[in-house]
Amino acid sequence: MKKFLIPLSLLILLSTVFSIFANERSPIEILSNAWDAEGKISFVATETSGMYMKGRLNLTVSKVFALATGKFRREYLFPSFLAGDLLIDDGRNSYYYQPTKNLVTVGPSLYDPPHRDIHSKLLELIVKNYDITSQPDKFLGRDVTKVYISPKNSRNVLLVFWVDNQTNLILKRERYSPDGKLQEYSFYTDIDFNSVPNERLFIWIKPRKDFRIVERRERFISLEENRKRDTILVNLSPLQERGYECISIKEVPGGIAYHFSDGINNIMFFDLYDLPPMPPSVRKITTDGIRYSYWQFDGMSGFAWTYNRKNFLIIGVIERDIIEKIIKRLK
Amino acid sequence: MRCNEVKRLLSAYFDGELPIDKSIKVKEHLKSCRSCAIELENIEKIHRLMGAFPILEVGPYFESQIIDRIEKESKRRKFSFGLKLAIGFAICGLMLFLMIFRDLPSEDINLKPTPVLNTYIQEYMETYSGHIGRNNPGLIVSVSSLGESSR
Repeated sequence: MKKFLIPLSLLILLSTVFSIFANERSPIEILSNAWDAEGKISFVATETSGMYMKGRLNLTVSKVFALATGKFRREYLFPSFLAGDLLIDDGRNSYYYQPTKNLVTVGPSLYDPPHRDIHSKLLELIVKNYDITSQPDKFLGRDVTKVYISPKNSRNVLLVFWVDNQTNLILKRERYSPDGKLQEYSFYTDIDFNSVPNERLFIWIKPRKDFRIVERRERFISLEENRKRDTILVNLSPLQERGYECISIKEVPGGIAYHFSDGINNIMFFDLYDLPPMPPSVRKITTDGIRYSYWQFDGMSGFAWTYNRKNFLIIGVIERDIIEKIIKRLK
Repeated sequence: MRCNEVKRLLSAYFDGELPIDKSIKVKEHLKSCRSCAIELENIEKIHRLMGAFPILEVGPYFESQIIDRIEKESKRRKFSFGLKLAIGFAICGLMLFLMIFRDLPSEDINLKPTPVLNTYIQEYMETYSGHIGRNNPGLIVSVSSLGESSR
């Protein structure tokens, strides 16, 4: 009997060690599962979101309801001018009620295929362009994995996610500027995974007659469709060298918008019929014989120029030298 | 018989259409009434004048030609009415348009207005907060004062 006890104990030990290693997930896998869990978990929570803009913190507090079928509801509680506002995303459309303005804005659902596609492309670019590390942590008394995203070969953290180990839901998010300043954050409190919200909360009820309904429809243009009209804008080498890729093309009022991203930073490149009036703080700069308008506030920059009867506008967190390379490239 | 009654019967008396008893009574009255006798003379004169006109024969298509002309006239009147109605509506519409838009600047009447910079900043803001402010339009609204300054 004794001669069987030692091999049996060894077998149990080996299988335990193997199972521990088998369950340990890589940071990319944790992030990927968190990405995939969005819109697939039912819960009720209070969400606080903050964004620093012009040195001012803009804060919102709202009650959120989520269904595993890709439905979402947000009831704003704070600030006072947003209190009473309501967002319903029924999986097909999103309806944003603003009772103080007697306004409803109808737009696409965040869970529709084009937006899910953009969301998954962002993850691909994060994995391609950034370093991802993780460590165990606790949040709201729950076991979570804290996932850090930093530029390659850099210690500067740009994004941090607190991913719930049990549900894969991201419970907290923080975004930092390259110089380490907190720019945005959001986190849940009073989260309840046990109570499933009533389906009726996600049904869009047509408002009173005096409500104005504004449709914000998005028409995405596929890369194949765009290839027929223009390939230069999609393949801008100065952006590609920095890890940016064009992840969506869509029609906007007055033209076409090209969304470039490196996974975290985003740039919107507009090809317009007419340029809108520029802000008073605009500067006029000439490069390679082309005069362009340039404005900047709170780290966000805008560049506008006309060449060969085409009007371009770029908005994003981007350096001027890259824009000047783009201007030369488009000549 | 009284004069009024005789004058009413004179035309029938002249045509020989009165019953014999009434015809005798009219004849008796005319003998004693100068005024009624003159009235009868006038009737005789008109008949004589009418007899001097040549008798006109109508052509074989007279009736159909008359119907055609009536139809054409009726259509012309209808068209003219429709045209008048259309012109009336056009004038009313123009007046209404001028009443509504007279105080607006000309750029508002432009069918293709140029979007403001804020439209594009908002497009960018939605991508900017892609990792944090997803499905949080209120957050974009609360920072939209940024766009106001750039209008």
